[in-house]
Amino acid sequence: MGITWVLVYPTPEGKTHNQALEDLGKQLLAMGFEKDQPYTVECETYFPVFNLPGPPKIFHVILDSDRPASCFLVPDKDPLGLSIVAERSFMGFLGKLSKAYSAKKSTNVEVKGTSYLFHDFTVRPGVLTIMGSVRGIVLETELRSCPVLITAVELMKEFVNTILPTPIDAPPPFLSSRIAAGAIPVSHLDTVLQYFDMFKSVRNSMIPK
Amino acid sequence: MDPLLKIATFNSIPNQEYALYGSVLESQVDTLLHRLKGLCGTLPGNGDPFEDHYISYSFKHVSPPIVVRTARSLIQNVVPWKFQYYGTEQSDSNRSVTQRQIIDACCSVKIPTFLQEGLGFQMDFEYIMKGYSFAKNRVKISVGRVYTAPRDASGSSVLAGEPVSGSYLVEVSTVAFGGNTDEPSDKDVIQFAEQLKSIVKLERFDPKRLPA
Repeated sequence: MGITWVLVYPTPEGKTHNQALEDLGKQLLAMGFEKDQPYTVECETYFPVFNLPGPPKIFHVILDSDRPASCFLVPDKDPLGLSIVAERSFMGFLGKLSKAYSAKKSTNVEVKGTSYLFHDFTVRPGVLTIMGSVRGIVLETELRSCPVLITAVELMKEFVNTILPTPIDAPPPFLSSRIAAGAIPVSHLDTVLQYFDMFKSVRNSMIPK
Repeated sequence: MDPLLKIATFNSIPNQEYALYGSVLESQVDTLLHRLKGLCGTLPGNGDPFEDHYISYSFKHVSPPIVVRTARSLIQNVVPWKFQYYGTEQSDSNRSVTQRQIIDACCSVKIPTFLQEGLGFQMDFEYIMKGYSFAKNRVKISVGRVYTAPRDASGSSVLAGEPVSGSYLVEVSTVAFGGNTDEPSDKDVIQFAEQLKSIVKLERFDPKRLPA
């Protein structure tokens, strides 16, 4: 398990997201990356069936095809403090909760793409879709050889800036707060929570103001 | 769900538990452990002591309430917590073993707060089970005693308190795929129970005998 940054890959103007992803794939191959396997990250949201006293308890289940034996459970309230990783068999229990919580298909988010390898780095670019409509491109970059967040900030910055069309000068906001809190070492939950942050902001931007 | 993701879903995990229960007095427990050591052989892990802390939670806003429990080892603190859900017992009277659905998943240590804060479960009670576990092929045998679990002043650490009774609980169980399999799993459990008959009488758990 290494350090992972999850970023938005800006789609150039005049291109569809799918075209941009295809171009990015070609660019990575030209840079000497090796094509690996396809991957999917999915997020299902469960809502309470009836109202309980207190704020509604909404939670999200995130699945990653590269972590096929795990599922990630992220409550809407306090994701950093309450989220857990469980064996995939926990999914069977969610069916038992159907009288209390149910999943809304309309809120499902999916990121689908192919991963690429380059020495110690894994890059996973994918298209983000909500209800079948494409919303953008997500770029996940992992440095597999280093588990300590703070040591690789500069290296990661340099690496992602060779791929991104517009350079960034800081880690993703979620990681900045983790670095500030001195959180080491990282786990895959840190990656999943970055996806979660992104899904949340994409979903919120869809709600008409 | 993507077919790739389905590989490891709960469908392909055995989820039916077949079990028999019994109890022995403390004075007889050594005889039983001796017999079990003989029957199960000296594979690593056989006859190892365990000390597990169980917490039971329920979600009472639906009827019937949803009851789950978490378990963690007090001996090894690097192993994950366990989440367990038991389905209702298959109440067909001519059955000779208890058959229940079981969902068993390893989890992060934050599972208690996730259940309470994240899902709205309530903690009902907790206890500690101390004893020895054995395995023979697919059958798991545990001999253990229930202890109270008093908390210290801060409420965070738990140590085994007083034993709840003078006897040990014996459980012989196996987990297998449900449905019509070629190999009935209850046979394994019954066969093993037969071999212990002279020391402990193992029976199916009957909820009707519980005090209401």
